[in-house]
Amino acid sequence: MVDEAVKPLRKAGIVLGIGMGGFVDGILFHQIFQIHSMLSNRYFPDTLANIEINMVWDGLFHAFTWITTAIGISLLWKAAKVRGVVWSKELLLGSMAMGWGLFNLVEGIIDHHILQVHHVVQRAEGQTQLMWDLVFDASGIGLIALGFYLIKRASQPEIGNPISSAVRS
Amino acid sequence: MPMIPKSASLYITFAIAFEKELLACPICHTDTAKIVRAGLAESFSHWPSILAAVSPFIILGLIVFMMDNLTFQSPRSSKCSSGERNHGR
Repeated sequence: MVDEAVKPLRKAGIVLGIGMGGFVDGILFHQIFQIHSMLSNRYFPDTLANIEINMVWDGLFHAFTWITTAIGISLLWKAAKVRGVVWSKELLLGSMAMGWGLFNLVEGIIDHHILQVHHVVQRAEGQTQLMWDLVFDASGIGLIALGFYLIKRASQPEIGNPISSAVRS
Repeated sequence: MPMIPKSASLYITFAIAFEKELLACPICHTDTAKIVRAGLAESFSHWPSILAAVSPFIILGLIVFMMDNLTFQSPRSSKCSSGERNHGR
């Protein structure tokens, strides 16, 4: 079964993509650019106390992304041991893009729109704040589409495609 | 009178002007710690905060579990995998 040969690497890639997508959010947006923190809509980071509270919650968020990445690595390790598994760079990158996109979309919908614990650009107001939240959601949809395209392309059993040239025996 | 290093005096000026909690005073520092402890206790009893940290990962886990049973292949490629393509060669 071709799909069975694709599944192990695809699953590992998606989980790795979720974890690494979370790290992109945490490192780039929470720490380097500091445009939002985990609870910045509730504890606006304009006092030392609020910054410290947000830092604890950012730490919890990073702990979950670390666990997710560790699960992804363990799945990748398992996939490497499965006989007949497709070992394609395109499939791994596509799966990771899909995982990253899923993270952006799910985190965006839950944290930015439903619970509103923070927004992508916390200091922005009204329509601008909503626009950046929607840009984040759109980036998720774009990454899912890119991932879907790459996975589908890598899964086609055509001559010259990774499925026929990269099967591990 | 001891000279205050330029960087330290700048730091104190900045702290007084923008962030009174940053003052290098033991009393204020204690107060800040109390505020942080109270804030953290409050944040951990606020259910949307807990949900915001945990639920995306639970939902993503469920999505990955469901996606594992999905096929990304078209019916044509499934046909090929059953060996029909080799017969045609």
